[in-house]
Amino acid sequence: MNIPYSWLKELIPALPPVSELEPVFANMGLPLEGVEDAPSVPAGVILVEVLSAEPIPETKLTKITFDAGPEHGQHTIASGAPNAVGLAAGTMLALVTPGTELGGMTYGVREMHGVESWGMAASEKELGIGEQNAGVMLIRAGEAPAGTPLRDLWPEDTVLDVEVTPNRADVLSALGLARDLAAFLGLELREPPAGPAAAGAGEIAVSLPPKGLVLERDTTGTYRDGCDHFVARTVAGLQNGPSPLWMQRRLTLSGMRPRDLIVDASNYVMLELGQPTAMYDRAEVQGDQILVSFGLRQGEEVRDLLGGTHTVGQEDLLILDGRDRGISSVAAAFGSAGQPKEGQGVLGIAGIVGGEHGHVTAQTSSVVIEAAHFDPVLLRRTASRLGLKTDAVYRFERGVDPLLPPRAADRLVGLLAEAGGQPHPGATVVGDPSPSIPGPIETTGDQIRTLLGMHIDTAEMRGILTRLGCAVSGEGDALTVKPPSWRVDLHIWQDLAEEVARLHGYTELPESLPTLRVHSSNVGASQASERRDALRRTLSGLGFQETVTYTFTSNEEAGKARTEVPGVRLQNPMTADRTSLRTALYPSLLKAAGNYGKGERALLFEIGRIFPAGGETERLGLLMRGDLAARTYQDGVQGGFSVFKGLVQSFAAASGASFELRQLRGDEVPAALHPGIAGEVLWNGQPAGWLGALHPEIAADFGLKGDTFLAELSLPLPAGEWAFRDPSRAPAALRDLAVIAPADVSYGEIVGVLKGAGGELLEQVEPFDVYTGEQVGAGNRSVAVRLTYRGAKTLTEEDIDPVFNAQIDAVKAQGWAVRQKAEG
Amino acid sequence: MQQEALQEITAADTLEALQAVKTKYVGKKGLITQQLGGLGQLPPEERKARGAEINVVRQAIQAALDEKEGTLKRAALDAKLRSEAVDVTLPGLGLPSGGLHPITRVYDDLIGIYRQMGYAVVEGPEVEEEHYNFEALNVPWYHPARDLQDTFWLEDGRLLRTHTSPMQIRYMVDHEPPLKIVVRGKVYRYEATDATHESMFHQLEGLVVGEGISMADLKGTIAEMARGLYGPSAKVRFQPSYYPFVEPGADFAVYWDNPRGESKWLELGGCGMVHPNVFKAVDDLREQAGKDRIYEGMTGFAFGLGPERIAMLKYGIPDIRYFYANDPKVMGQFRGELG
Repeated sequence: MNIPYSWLKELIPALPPVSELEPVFANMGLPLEGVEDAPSVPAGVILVEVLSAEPIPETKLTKITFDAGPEHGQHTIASGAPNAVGLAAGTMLALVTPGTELGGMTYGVREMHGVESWGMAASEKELGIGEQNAGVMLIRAGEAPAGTPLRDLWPEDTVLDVEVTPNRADVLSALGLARDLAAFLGLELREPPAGPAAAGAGEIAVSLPPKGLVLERDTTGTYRDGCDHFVARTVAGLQNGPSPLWMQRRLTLSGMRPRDLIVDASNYVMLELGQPTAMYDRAEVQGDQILVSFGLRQGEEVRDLLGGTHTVGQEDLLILDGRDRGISSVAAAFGSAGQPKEGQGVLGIAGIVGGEHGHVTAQTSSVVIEAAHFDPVLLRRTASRLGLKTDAVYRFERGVDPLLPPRAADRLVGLLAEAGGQPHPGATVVGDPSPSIPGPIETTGDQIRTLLGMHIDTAEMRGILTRLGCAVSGEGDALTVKPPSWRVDLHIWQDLAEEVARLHGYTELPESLPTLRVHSSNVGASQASERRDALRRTLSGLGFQETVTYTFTSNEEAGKARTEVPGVRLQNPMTADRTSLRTALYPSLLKAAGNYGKGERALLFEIGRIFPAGGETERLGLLMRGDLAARTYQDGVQGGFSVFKGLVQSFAAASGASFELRQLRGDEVPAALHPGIAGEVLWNGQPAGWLGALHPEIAADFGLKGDTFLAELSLPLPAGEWAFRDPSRAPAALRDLAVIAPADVSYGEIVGVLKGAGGELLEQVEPFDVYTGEQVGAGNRSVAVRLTYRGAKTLTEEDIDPVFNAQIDAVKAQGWAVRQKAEG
Repeated sequence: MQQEALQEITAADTLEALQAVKTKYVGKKGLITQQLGGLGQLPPEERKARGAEINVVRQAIQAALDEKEGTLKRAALDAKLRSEAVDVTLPGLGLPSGGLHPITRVYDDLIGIYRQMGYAVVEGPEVEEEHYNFEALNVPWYHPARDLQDTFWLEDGRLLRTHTSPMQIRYMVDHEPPLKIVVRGKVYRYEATDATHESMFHQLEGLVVGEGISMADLKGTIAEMARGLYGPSAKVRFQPSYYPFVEPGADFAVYWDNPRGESKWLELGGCGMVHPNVFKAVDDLREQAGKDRIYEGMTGFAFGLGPERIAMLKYGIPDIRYFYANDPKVMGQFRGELG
């Protein structure tokens, strides 16, 4: 929120200089996001009074004759500004006098189409004080004597950009911010002037929606009042036009664009007091009646004053006039009889935006002022459905002081009266805002001290809360606190504890540590995390680089990688390549591998989550490309399946797990893998994922040349049992055996048979020769293995023979042949 | 004979030649051996003196042989070692060196500090129910605080968690107080990416619940973290702030004595005392799951911070997008002790 320093200074005369405020705001919990100098204009820019404005024939220019004050006298300019056409005598302009430098240019006297052009009539943008650039800056008649330097009325300032958290609706105004600042610094606050209080009844009849609305979505069954406070006042006799310069200046410095007197006055009251108001052209408000409706006009199209079109939903609050019917009561209004014509009579979408119907124009001379308190939830719901983010709803959804409407209406009446309007003395005030005002909170000084862990005297707490506008009572340590109506964020004693700490100073908080012994249910909660850490350390020690990749994917990428089509899809994707959540890790690793140079070794892992149809789960992905060690002046170590498998074997061994691959064939092979180089990982004997070579077509689609090897394992990895084994000192006995089996029988299957029959004495099976050729017959393969046996004592032939023979029998039972070699 | 033998020993320039000399004089059938064998034919009085003479010669020859053998062996070894010499300045095999992602390294630093203080480390789901991400954390569906966390909604009505705070709820539902945990993991925001914003990033969340936990305990805990991260002189600053699931709430900053640049306060994260509505929401969920209501009336604190920001500050990484680009030239720099 932007606010000029001078405004705060007016409300707090003793306010320290800007240079000292940054830590103050930060310690209030309202940090400054920016502090910007707002410059004034050069001394040579003066106010001039228009005497006449007439078109210059055969041009689009206007000849303006003006009085530049006693010093300069009367001059003319030729202006091409659209709003110079037909300027009324008496209107004032900001004139850059000849000889004045502005924006790097020095203006002089020229002749244009036979007209002496004395200086230049400038726009706010040209003057560097605003954004308006569609025409010259217009200043209302009588603002100041002609010849007055603009900088006297528009001095330089400093704009503070205050970051306001959603709970602090009360500081979204000059008064609110000054109130908190004054309380924090213990300084006197000067409230802005009050407007003329209403006396008697107003001219506009107002009906509110029934109380106790329940929103469809609200499962809590909370009853809501759509509008619990509504004030309508009227002002006639207005001449709409530019608002006073001081008002334009404050609006501009606060980031709003001045429009005209009526709109500016409404916006000004919002900036000053925090109450959004609506202004309707009274001539358009049919029957002098206003109905705040809920649930009416569903599906109708409503045009707003900015030209946007919105469709009314089933739970919207609308402001309707009395068109096509006299609204005698709420009951009548909600009856089905006399429904008005489509789209007619909608003055606005309550608290969000005014309608095209009834909006204020340059010709408006009489207005209806609406100052109301609407339900924050209803308004937020409508605004977010319609995608409308207005200054008004921003405040309403955060919480406007429910008691503020009469004061805001009065202030608005006062401002319009100052500008020549003739207010009606009465006001229509309906509704009962009391349920929206926070009730008293019971607490004690001890309770607050214990929560904060900081000593603050109860007396100081009373002082702090009183300074904040709370009514504080209670004896001794007891505190009964009634927050002010504007602090709609204070509900529980912890909220008060924060206020006490905030004003006492968070900087005063001492530092201690919790002393507690955790409940036994928490013991061991870290185990999964510790296992992940161990995996990361082991893999990085083996030479793998950890990656962290995006969880997002797209159907296109999933298709390219041949992984499961993503089923967890984003409602609101940001880009076309991030429409859903990944169903496997390897596509992410393939993309990461793409960052490595051609032929550069990539050895990567990632621990991450995937989102397949079976639900969110965690995976470990591994990838290898390129040589293990590149060839240089000497031979390197080529990469390849065996190296990759070897690294994963080492990983398993370092993790204390047994590791095997089961050959996958046909339909079992994951789509990612080469159909002939694919295995199921058995980790501690349990299926845990797959390992193999990337399918060459996928590699090509990902632009990866050369072989890529992948593994993807589910986490947590299956645990193994561990027990200390006293190593046997007895020597090993070795037997060699060649198994001749069909070539499509995997080594793993052969070992499985040998181990199955090997009993406890079999310590190890190692292949030492794999042979295909004539000697073993076409379609066959010979795998020669060395069998190592070891027992508690030295094994004899009699010990080994039965085992060895059982193994041979088991092999033969598979239909395979053996060739027994001489024992080694 | 001694003279001749010594000359022959000197002349022998290989171990083989020396062996031949040895055999010739002191071998089983060597000249000296033969002479000693001939002693028996001498009269006893001569035999003793002659024996002593021959022994003197034998010892001299043997000593010369031993010395020469040592010399020749050393020369042979020297030659062998010379022939084995390697230019050690040539590079070794280019074997891989692995490493951890910088985010993991920052997590390791942070979590190490909290482990020392007895915190358990947990993780939770990234796809979350709206109830856990918002409602249970005192952010009802209509609350403007939802605007602070632009959300990736899923077609099935769930969402990508916008913070790690839902694990506060999940953990408390499943465990009993007193408890001390930190939560690590990815979070997501519907946010355009630039040098300091990402739609995916990480958080570390802390939660302590017990009886009589105070805001001073929170500040002391953050101060311990600051000392662990930035050294013994690190200071902590609390400023009021707002997070719907805490009350009172604060933002915390750490004063960083930057060894390489300007020292300054670093805004690191948010924290506060667990809001009673959060305890109530936990107890409601526990009740639905058939468990006791045990959290209402407890006090606790929670805090959250972003490892990316710490990594960027600590390592001087200029752009948050580096973290997920997985550029080997960037990732390869995070090895060993870093600054």
